[in-house]
Amino acid sequence: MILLDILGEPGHKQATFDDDPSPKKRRELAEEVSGLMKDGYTCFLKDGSGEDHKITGYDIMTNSWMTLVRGELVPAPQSVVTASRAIQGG
Amino acid sequence: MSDELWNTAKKHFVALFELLEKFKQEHPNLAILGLHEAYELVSSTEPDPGIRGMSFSSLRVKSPGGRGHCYTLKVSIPGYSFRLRAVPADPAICLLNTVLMTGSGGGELLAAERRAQEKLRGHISEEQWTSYQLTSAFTEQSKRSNLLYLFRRGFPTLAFKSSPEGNNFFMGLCLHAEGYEPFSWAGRLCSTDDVITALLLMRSQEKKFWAKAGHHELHSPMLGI
Repeated sequence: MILLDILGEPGHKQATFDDDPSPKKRRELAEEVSGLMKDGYTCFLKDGSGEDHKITGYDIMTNSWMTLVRGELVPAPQSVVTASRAIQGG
Repeated sequence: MSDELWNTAKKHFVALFELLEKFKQEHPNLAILGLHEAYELVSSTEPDPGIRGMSFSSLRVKSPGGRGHCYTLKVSIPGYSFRLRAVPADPAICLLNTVLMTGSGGGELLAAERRAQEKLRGHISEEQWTSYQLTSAFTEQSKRSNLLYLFRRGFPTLAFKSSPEGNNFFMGLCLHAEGYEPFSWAGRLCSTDDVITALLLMRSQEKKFWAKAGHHELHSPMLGI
């Protein structure tokens, strides 16, 4: 399962997708993630080794996340992505 | 610096302090923290761009409004603009406001906090989790900068510089997941969500973490120590 955990309201808003989503669902996932980024959210991915990366998008063709580190692709199945706006405090 | 130039500069500094004094009288609950930002509005190729015809034309406070902006005191003069940070003068009032605002969140916020804590647990080690349960804070050393971060629930994150003699305080960094309530440390979401945001941004993009967070020096009332 691919889980999108959005820190935008108390208790978080979550969206789930199958590990191997249909082309239509993949488009939905890509739109969801790019929509979040347009709204000012920063998306973080925790990979298999426990490292946290910032993601820059979702690749529909390979069902993987594009990460900030050298544009590396990380497989999306079984992943958890956390989205937060990260607002400056006073 | 020539005498004439110095006298002109002194005159304008006096005018600035008078304006700041007026501001303090109008806003007794705010303290001016220091120079936040200064920038030149004219081309640097002009001779003496800031000195000629200086006069302080505006003084205003930008209200926090929207999602979490800091209070900024803007002083504009022809050619230059200065921004000074204004923060609540009394940390006890901030703490009182934080408790009142957080308490009014009710059961929904409590359930959200429990859920956020479960999420945080998946991102940190067992030792860090134990520390968070016992002290509401845990530490993590950055692999990039070697800075030691102290993530605290409900308060700004503290950054320390490590040296052979020990750790020295470097800066307080205030970041929220979704805005904050002015005159308090309370975020719009539960406090562990703020901790998660700070932790993930530090791990994935430390430079951006510093760029996004509000900075507090050691004696700032907003540091929450």
